[in-house]
Amino acid sequence: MTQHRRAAITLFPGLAAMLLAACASAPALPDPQPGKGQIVVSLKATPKEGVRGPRKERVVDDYATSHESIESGRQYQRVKYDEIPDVVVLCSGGTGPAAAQLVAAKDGLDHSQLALSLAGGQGPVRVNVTNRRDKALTFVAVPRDAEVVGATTTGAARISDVAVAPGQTVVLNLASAAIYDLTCEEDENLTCVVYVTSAGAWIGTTKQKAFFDGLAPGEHDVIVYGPRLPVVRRTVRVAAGVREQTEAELTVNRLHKCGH
Amino acid sequence: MTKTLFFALVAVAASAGVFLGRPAAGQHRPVLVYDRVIATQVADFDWKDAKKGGVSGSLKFSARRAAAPIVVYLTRDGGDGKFAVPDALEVRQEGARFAPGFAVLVKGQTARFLNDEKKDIAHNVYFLGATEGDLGIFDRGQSVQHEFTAAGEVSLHCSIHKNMDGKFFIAPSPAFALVESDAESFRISGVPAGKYKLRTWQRQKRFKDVELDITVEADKDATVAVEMTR
Repeated sequence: MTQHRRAAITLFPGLAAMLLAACASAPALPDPQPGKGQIVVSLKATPKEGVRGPRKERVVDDYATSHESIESGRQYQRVKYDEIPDVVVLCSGGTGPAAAQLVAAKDGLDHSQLALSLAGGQGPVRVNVTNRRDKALTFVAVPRDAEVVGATTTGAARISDVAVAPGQTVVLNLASAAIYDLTCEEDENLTCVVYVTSAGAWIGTTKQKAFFDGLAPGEHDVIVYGPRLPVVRRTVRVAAGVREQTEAELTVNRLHKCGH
Repeated sequence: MTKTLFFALVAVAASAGVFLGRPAAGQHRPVLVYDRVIATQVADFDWKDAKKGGVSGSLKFSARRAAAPIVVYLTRDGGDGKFAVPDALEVRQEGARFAPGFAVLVKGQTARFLNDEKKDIAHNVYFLGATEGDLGIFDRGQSVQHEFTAAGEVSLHCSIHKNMDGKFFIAPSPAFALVESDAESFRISGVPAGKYKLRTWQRQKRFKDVELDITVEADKDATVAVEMTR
């Protein structure tokens, strides 16, 4: 047996294990249904060009000297572009979750955005709101597309509210497609944007890929909403039996440069 | 004819602040995009030459209101014309906080963003909403200014610091009143006589916004009762 063959036999189990682990971490996507297509959206967040890391200053105490960031405290927390949470992707076809959890804890809500789909036809979508605080909270969901009294174009969406006692979970039903601003009457810092669509909805982080299945062949609009970031739009042409790939970069770098 | 009807429908949707993306075959209005721009018209009319009156009114709420202000503003039928724009607003950034964190500007007004941090900390400022743009990165002591030429809601952010946010409402003209969260009445003075739409904008939305027709007569106050309901 040559040295190379011995090395290959020794390394093989390790390589195979690594390959299996990689496969396990990225579940295989189903094949397209007959006559339908798919879209996979790869997400990426890019920081502003030219941003430096925080400066450090020398700190001397009785025992040691260290260098610490001058940006300390909650207000100076930096955006972590390697993984932006709560990215919402909507697609003009497909489906999505009909229910979501939202937890109000001491330090705030656990999501800044939610994405829900009415496409399943099972009635209103549901936000299960849990109150982990020691006082009752009232949440109000106001649709942006029914803002003006008398607006007729998409006036179906209604304002909804729920009161949630401490330790309880209450369901907030949303029956119409709209972008809802969810706020809390008792604490104005508890805010969440809820996207309710009648087609494809997905939510995840920029480390994941949005996937839309069962799409009718033709053009589909894909819109990506990253928290605090410019909206990204794509039009993707889908053919029957084909999985199309597209990318969406969430960044301020493509905004119009202004000011003087 | 069909094309004309299509553009008319798009215009109606846009005026309501909503555009629902072009559907694929067999799909119906599934993708949501919200436009925060307030459509305004330009009219060949100068405020300084006009006879003026005012609007005073009350606000009534059907449920608990937010601890945040409401803006009552007017848009003149036929266009808002020319008016004097207030001086630039200075927005400071010490402590990674926009100060003020909320302000009402008038269309055409400038905001000057000053990095007045005590330590050597850089900030970036960008806007989303009725105006979208990036002022770049500026170091301590530097300032950048921008003129806001579109009316509507603008959110301010720093792309470096995740909790550094602010909000502007850019009023279409100087005819507006900022109603603080503990106030239930307002007065808008120095309004050229004419026909207007009175509208509301909420810093934190709890109610349907209101749109009412009003007429302002010279040397008089039009009175209006605004009911905010869900």
